[in-house]
Amino acid sequence: MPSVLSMEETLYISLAAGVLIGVVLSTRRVNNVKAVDVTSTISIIALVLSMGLVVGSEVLSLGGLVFTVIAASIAIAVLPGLLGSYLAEVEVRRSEGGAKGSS
Amino acid sequence: MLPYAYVFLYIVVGTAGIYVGLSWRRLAAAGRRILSRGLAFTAFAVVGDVVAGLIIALPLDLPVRLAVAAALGSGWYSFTGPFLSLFSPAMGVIGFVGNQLREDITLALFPLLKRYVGEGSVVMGGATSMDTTLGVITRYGGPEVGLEGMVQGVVLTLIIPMLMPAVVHL
Repeated sequence: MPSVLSMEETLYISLAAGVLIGVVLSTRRVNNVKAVDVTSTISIIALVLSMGLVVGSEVLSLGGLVFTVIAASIAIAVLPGLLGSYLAEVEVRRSEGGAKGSS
Repeated sequence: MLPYAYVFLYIVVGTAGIYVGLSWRRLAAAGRRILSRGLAFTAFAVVGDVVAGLIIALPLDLPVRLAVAAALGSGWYSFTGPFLSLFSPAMGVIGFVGNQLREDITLALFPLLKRYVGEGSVVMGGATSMDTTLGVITRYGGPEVGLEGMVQGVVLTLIIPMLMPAVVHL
């Protein structure tokens, strides 16, 4: 059967449905966090496993890309966070300087 | 094999939404200053991710849109890796490992970053600052910085599943 919704549309619907369920659950006195934790942990493990199968089945196609993969992974781990942190800190100091100046 | 990855991805995004829905009361109770600073941190996190993605893509000759999407993961490796692997296995690995390392670096180096950079170092935690790295942020940054981190984490968790497909399909 052909899919009616695109992947992105299904992602948005999943997120919106999740938020609605969360809001409804938050109005109940019962603590549902444990059940959500279990569901989330199981699906993350399954997701990572299935991703490993997808990647593993095509790992040979990586070939000479191994250096690029390692370098890019390290760069993506460090650079975005550091850049964002410095930009945010500049703004924090600017706003605090402005607040002190006006008081 | 691939359809299972899709299904699990939808469940993960759905449960992230449930977490956001469950914590809306705590967020509503947070002060205006915390909320505005948390939102500013979110904006700087997105700007930092996009700029860094562009900087990384050019010298390593990576597909620009996928590299920016990988950087936009903001530490959410369980979403970024599987999502990008649907377009390119190599970018899936980069998205997964890079964002996993970002979470680990935040856990290990946040005290040092807080000392040398300041309050803005919360941005390093990205989407993880509402769950896994919240403890270390609150411990070394204080409760107010922890709440700002939580606002940032919640908002990033909400917008990443929208931003990433949008960037990939630009």
